[in-house]
Amino acid sequence: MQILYENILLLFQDGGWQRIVMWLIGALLIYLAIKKDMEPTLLLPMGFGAIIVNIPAIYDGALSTLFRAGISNELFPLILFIGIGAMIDFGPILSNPKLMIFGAAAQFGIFLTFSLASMFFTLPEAASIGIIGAADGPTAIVVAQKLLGDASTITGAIMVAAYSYMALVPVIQPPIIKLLTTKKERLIRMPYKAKSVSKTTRILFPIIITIVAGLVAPESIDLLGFLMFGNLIRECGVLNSLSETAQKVLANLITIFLGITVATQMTADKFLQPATLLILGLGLVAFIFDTVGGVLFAKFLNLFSKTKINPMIGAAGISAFPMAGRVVHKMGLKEDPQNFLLMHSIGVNVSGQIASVIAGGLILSFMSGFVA
Amino acid sequence: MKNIFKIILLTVAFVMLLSAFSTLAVAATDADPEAATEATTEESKKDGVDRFYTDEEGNHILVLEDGKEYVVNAEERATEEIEGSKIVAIKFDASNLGTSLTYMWQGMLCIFIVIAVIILSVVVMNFLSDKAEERKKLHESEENN
Repeated sequence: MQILYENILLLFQDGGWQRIVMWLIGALLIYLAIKKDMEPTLLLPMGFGAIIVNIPAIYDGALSTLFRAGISNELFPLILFIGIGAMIDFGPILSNPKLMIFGAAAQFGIFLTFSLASMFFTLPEAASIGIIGAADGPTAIVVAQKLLGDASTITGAIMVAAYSYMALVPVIQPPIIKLLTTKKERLIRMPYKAKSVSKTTRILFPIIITIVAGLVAPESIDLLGFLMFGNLIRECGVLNSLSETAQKVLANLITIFLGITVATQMTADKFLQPATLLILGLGLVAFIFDTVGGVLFAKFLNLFSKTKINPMIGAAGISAFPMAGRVVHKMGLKEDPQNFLLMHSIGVNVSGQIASVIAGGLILSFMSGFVA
Repeated sequence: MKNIFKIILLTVAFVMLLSAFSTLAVAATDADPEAATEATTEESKKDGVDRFYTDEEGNHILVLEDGKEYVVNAEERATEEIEGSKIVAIKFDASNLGTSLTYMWQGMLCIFIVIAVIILSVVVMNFLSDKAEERKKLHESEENN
């Protein structure tokens, strides 16, 4: 009979109340996923996983096995990138490659947050917190795992911050954009001239990008290589079934495992720390200054450019695809119902995906002496 | 100009808030690993009792007279046992700021350079592809004629 209540008694012993707090946090994530539709593909498994790992007397179960199989060695996020690459259409930036520069500018928040976080954490931890600004879950997981390893106490907080703020982009970005731009700037029209992109270019693009980025930032070759491999499967035209599998079945399968497995880092002793609140705050700073970097860069270019750029599209350089692009497009329509910024903003958004992965690789290169 | 001024003010206010938060976090835990280490060494020497040991994970553990255990690491952080739970204090330390700011400007510069190279590659690809298309059309029109 003792076995029926001995685990329940553990709730009233050391750290028991903290487990209950983590259950509530898990329930909150599930609520946000279902009721508020905030990144449900990840917040729901993470919330449920947080509840499981905080049940007393759970030691080395299936979640730990999955963690070692897919997160410790960064396998799950890399495989997910194949699916993401297969979903992305690089056509908008191939027809107007200059837009890619805004994707670069919008990674400013990563490095600024890295600098701020370095005043409170060690350099590898600060780098892992800064990469929240990449607005890309797999990149954040890979960088955090490589720099911090399995014993880290802050990985759970980093994951929650990354995915929560990605879902909050429609809430975070508009007020920042409005603060940084004038009405006149928001009304700038950017006519879109559709330009066809040849199949050859679409096939060569992922190959060339992988070589270029691999030579400059070899640490990014895992992330970028898998992303571009997925894109090559899509664009080659002879692997339609593989492309469809990567986009749907593979991506969904890995997302399920990723979400629930990342939650193994959300044990009470690791998550309920003052550092968690600071990380959540710094994550917000990262997203804000990504937006600031993109918008201010566009305004800077307008000083020299004859054809004015609507500075709002700079904000789409954040890697939260396709939300950031849609947010900018909606803001443009709100100001002027005839101003269609979608193709420009989606192009910038896509380039932000590439730039964020390169930023992750650069962070790993800088921190190469600290790799766990 | 007004907007930029607002942004600067907000940024400064936020950084000050973060600093204040970390100072409060350190004060709340009231952990001073260096003083604890000194006290330990003297205590150990005084009565010959080994109150400083290393556990299996390589953490240095300090045991004080009241039985409380401190984990003292070489890093800036210190932990304190409170009713069986560990709270990790956040210590404000600007010694890494110079290094991280260097990485910041280097990182941004590198990203811009890489993206510029990628843009150049795409422009060249588009140019060559357009040329190939033109030649193909010219060749086809010549064949038709």
